[in-house]
Amino acid sequence: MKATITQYYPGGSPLHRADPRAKFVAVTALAVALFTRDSFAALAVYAAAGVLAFALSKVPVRWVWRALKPVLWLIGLTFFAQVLFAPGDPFFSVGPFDLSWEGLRLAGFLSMRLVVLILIGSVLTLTTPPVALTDALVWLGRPLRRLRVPSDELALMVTIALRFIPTLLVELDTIMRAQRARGADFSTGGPLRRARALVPVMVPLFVISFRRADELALAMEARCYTPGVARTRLHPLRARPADAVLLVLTAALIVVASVV
Amino acid sequence: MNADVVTLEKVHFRYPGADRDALAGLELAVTEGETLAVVGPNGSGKSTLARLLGGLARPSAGRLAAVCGCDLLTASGRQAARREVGVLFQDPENQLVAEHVEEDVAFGLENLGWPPPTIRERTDEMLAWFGLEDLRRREPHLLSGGQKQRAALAGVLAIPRRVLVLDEPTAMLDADGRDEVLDAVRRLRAGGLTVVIVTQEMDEVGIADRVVALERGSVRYDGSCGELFARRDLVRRLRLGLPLAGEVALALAARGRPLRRLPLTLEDLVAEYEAGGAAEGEQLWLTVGEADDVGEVPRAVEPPAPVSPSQSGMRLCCEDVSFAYDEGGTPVQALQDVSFTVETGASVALLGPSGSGKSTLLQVLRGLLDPAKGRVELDGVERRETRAPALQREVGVVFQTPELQLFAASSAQDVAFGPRQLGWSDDLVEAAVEAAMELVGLPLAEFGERHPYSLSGGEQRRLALAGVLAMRPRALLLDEPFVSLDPASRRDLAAVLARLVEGGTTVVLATHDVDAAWGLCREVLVLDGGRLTAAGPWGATTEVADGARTPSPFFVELWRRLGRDAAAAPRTAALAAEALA
Repeated sequence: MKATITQYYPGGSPLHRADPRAKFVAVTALAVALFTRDSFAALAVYAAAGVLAFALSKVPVRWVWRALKPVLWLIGLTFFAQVLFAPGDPFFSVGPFDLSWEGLRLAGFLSMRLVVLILIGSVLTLTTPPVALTDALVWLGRPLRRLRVPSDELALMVTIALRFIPTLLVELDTIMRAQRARGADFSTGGPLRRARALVPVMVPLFVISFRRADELALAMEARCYTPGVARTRLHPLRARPADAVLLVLTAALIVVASVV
Repeated sequence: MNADVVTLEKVHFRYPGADRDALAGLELAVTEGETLAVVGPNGSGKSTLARLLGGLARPSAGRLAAVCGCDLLTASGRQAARREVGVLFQDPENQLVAEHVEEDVAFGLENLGWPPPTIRERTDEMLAWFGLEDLRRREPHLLSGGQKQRAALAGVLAIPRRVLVLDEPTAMLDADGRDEVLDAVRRLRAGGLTVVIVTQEMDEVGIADRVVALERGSVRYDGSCGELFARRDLVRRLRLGLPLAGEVALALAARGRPLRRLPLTLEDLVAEYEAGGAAEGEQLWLTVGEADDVGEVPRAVEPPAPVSPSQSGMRLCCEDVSFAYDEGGTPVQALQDVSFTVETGASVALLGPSGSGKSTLLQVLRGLLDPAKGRVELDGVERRETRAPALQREVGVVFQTPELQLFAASSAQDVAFGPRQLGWSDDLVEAAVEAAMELVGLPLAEFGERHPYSLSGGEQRRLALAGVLAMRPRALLLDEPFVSLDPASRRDLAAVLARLVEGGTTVVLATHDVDAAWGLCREVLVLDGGRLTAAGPWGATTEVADGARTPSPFFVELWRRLGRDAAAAPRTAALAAEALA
């Protein structure tokens, strides 16, 4: 049993093969552009581009839905906050809340913008293995080394955290089931009682995590890992002409969206 | 004469905050090309020694500590030692850092800054040598235990090494995985690599040229394997055991039928037995004056008056049970149409390779996982009936490495957790805790106030078992209870389980340790790929286990080799000797 949190969908599409640096830059640029332009038309352009990218990546729709599902409450919250608090001529009032057409329009726009943002961001995370993503971040963060930011070490930490999150989730699941078999009850009582019920889970989880971390650190040292020493890579990042195409297309898209 | 690659003189090591040295004046020399086994009880310093040899721990003091010419007493020396000495740890899960197998194999070379084409070449070479080419793009968590450990070993040896240290490399593996790893070690050994193998498996000791036994951080024995096992006093004191072949030979000697040599493998035993017994004065391995106390290896837990936690067992029944895990949206079938019945008070071995569905089945029986289809009955009550939860509470489950679930500040409190959750009165809880702790050989008066983490590995395991037994289960389900315990702790635990079986508790034991299961269980269930491939009495129809990928027990194999009726194979070394004498 494995828990999927790093939602990478393996595949061989052009988007999968693209350099993670190019993908990261493209998605960041699109996200910024998305937030600097308040028009439904521009939103439609980005949405269309996002859908097209998904079709190209051949990732099943189910996976996109799974990426979207956890943030639905955030989108819902944004929508209601905007609807209730946005200024405008109210056509309906309840207590301190006013409903206006402007509010509804703004709420709809902001929620849809969030959906499009997640759509575009998911193209990156679904087509890029986490390690490739951290590699890209290391490369892009290189100038920070001048400022004495240990970007390589940070990237390795992120890689390892990503590698171990599924393992620890499985561990958590096992501990909870084991304690439940001993009569632990996590689902009844007030907040205090529920928090107390978690002690038999959290203590073992921390002990296990520390032990794993200790063993992992040893195993890495045993393979000559030394923080701060330059490493080489089996698969060095290599930009190809297709990556230039990706960046040019992204720029074109932003230009188009800014004039519609 | 080859040169020494390891020289330790008066080496000490102490963990921060510990009140005694983990290594106390250790003396050790290892010759180039030699294979050395390191044995000793839980907590004797074996793993610390492995770390020290790998340049991964700083000795707190020492006259001399050198590995491959690197001085372990200096930081630069330890750094240099890490390039010469490879260390493979017990749990492969904690050693694989990269996303795919080949990147993990390359990790060490990347750290050394090798140019990418050279890394490629060396990585391919290692993948081929360990038979991992087809798995190079596989994610580590999708590998079997044996594959994971081979991948980790390939990663350790990708950096050219002079010495390989293995810290209980097979403890977490099933029989197939164990064979995979040991085969690799044998080939490395044949290639001239110096190998130090730390192990709790007495059958693995024979792989070495020499064995060193540790006790409280120093060397108590240094010599041949045969001689160590012949020293009854040492074997007992160091909480070791004998390979079953050796136990049979001892039991034979106790019955006046000594063999000429102490056999350590089944083949040895058959050969020695068929060659006839030893003549007067010929049994050199049996130290004079010890002949009278040989025989059954004494159990550390003396059976007290039977304090059975329950008076009756429980009948467990599965009918067409299927279960699938959801893995990233795709269902993975863990159990498929499994049907069987475990009668009240039966003792059942649940066998099968890793990933065959054993743990899932135990959790389905206890109601911790809901099967997609099929009936699960406890004493005839189906899991969806309103009476089912009450019965489920009477089924105890001991998960893998249950000591990791200990959390309370004192042993007694931890054991009391379950009974308290059941809402029992203070008197009842106290009585249950006392009885359960007594039963597992950790009397309340002596152990009740101790912090669980201050207990030894074997004691922690039994304490966790007490936490389950305190709830007075009528059925007990155990998942790999013997893993990573020293031989004496295994015997202690087996003795506790045997008493539960005698007391009438229904026991289902999922394990890779076929021989331990054979000693305890009268029935067998074999799972393979989620399907039940055999079920029924174990012994009378031993053949059931043979079609499946599960090795047959030592005694069955022995009886077969000796041309005896395998269906009547004995359960213990003493019974085997009785029949053979």
